Amino acid sequence: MSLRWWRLAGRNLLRHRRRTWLTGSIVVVGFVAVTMTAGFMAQTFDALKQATIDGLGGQIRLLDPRAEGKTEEEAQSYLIEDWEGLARLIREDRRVVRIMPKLSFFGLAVKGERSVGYLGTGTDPRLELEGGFTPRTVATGTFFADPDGDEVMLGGGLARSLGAKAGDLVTVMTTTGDGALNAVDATVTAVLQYPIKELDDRILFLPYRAAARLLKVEGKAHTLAVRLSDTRQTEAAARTFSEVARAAGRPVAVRTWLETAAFYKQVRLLYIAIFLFMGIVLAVVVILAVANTMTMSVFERTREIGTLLAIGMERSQVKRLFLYEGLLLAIAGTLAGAAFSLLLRSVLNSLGLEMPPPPGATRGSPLHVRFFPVAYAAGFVLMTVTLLVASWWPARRASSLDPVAALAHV
Amino acid sequence: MDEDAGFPRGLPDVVPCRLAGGAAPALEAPGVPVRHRLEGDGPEDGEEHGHGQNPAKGSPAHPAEVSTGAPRPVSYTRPVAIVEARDLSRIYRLGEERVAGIRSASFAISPGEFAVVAGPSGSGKTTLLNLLGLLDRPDEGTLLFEGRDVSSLPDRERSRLRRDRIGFVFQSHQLVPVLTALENVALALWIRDLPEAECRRRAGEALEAVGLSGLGGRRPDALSGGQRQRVAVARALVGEPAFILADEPTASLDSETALRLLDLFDALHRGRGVTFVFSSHDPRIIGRARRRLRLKDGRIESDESAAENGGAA
Repeated sequence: MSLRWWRLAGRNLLRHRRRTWLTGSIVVVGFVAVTMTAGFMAQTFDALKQATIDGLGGQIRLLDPRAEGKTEEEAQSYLIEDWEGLARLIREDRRVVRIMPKLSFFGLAVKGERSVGYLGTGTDPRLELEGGFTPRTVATGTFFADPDGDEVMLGGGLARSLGAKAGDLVTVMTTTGDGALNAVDATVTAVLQYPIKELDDRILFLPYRAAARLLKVEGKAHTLAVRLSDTRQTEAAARTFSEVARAAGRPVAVRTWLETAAFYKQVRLLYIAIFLFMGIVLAVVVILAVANTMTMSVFERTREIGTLLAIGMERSQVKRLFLYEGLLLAIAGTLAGAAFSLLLRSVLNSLGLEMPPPPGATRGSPLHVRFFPVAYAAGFVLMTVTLLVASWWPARRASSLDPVAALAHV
Repeated sequence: MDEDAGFPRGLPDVVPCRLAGGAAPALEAPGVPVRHRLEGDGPEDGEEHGHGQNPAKGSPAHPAEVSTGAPRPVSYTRPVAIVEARDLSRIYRLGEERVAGIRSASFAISPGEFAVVAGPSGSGKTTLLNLLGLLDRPDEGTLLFEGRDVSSLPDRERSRLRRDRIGFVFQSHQLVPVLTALENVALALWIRDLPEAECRRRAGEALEAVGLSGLGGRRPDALSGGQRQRVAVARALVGEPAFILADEPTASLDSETALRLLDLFDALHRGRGVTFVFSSHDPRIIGRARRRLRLKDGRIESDESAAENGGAA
């Protein structure tokens, strides 16, 4: 049907302005709820993704080929020999920003009479700083001052358990690969506030070289963390690195950040489930509100529908006319909703509100609603489908009226 | 009779009808109205008007409509009746009770007629018009529309026939309140999916024909009752239908406006040859018709033409 039917649908909607405004406002609120929630979720996913990548040191990790198919814990038994040689092979790739050796170990941290089990990471201080150790992470003290020095950074919970603070000396003990006990006395340069509480209570960082000396694995690394310029290139780059290493006779096991990001995947799944549930509830509310309005409209216009049928309008045309009214309401509602959503987003983001810490986390995060175009498109589709569903029954009822009975309707 | 007062004398300008062969008493049958064939109600210039025959077959359609008078010239060609009812009945079920809205109605409406279906409230006028307008289906009998049996036509086909061949004027104007007068008239063409420019041009012409040129931009609520009904007539007229059915078109009008609307019907009938079938229980309105089908309790009590009932010269 041509533009004139859209025009007629529009005028029909404006017959009862107040009712149309009320129904339209439900569509607007529904749309705003969808886009704002999705924007917040997208922001959370992004932040979590970034935190995961930062925590790993990059989007891709290269491991010894014997770690292929092994769990994360099992994989820590194998070391990459001559990590610098392997790094040279892939450094030429234009997608690579930096390559960082990492050592993982565990043992006891001792300060005076207190000893606490820890999970340790040996990392390159300079590269780590570039890669995501933000000032927010350091609660007290300063980041590593000397990459070659015997320095240590403690998680906030671990520091509290040890009674350690910046400037204190802590003994870090572990067992080497050959089963010998080794220890290093390191100065606490910083106490961190690690976002995940379980890690905050256990984690410590040593500069790579200090960790390598502790483990007696100089020149080796458990993993090579590769930071890419674009996370979207992760899969393609992973394939390339695997091929390049194999071609050079140094096969490696390649893991992407997503493969080991269990927490990210769980949070994402949970949020999506909540979002879908909320979407369904919203859709039901919108359907009920719109269906009620449209049914009232059909009832009020029964004689008019009878007239249209009498003068030869086909039933399908009558049905389409009501569906157009629903569609028009969806379009107008989503346009107004989009404008309102953008405005609300700007206001909320400018307020600098802080979200409370999620379960298991040590700190909250700033409330930031991202502009997420996919959510706007999805909101439009959701509202359109919802309003079509809501209009369908009243439209069907209108189109199936008996013209004689409809004309006699009072 | 009172109701004959004001009946226009003489023959229609556009569709002059004269019955060749003269009047003859009709065969009366139970449930079948008397159909008198008189001067002023006959076929156009040497053509028989076609009331009494099945045009498709060229044979007598119904005993009641067969003239038994003088032999007719064999050179006549019979125009197809617009609509022809044969033993048409419509029965309503009210619980266990069966109420006949229309019983065994047989008659035909030919091009150029100006006929009224008269009768008191509840006599079946609206039911009959609904059947003629293909809004309702008969329970018994046959309805031919332009020679084609439409009694059991599918809904979609009936819609298209109504859209293309029948104009409707209702008791209340039944205009769409959110459309202007011009758009209300154009609506009858919109549903044919005609181009907008053509719809507007033809709607403008139809409004001019009913004396409302210049008021096309007004919405119904800015028009008087009589003007609204004229818009409704224009809407019925704009599609150039085979005939216009008007169910009590003056019922919601004051008497002066009602008569003016009848003047309009009359002018359109005379000037443009528009075929009108309307219903009324108002004697003054009934008196203006050239043919009167009188209903009582769902039965056609009589079927009279102008000259016979004293209205003609």
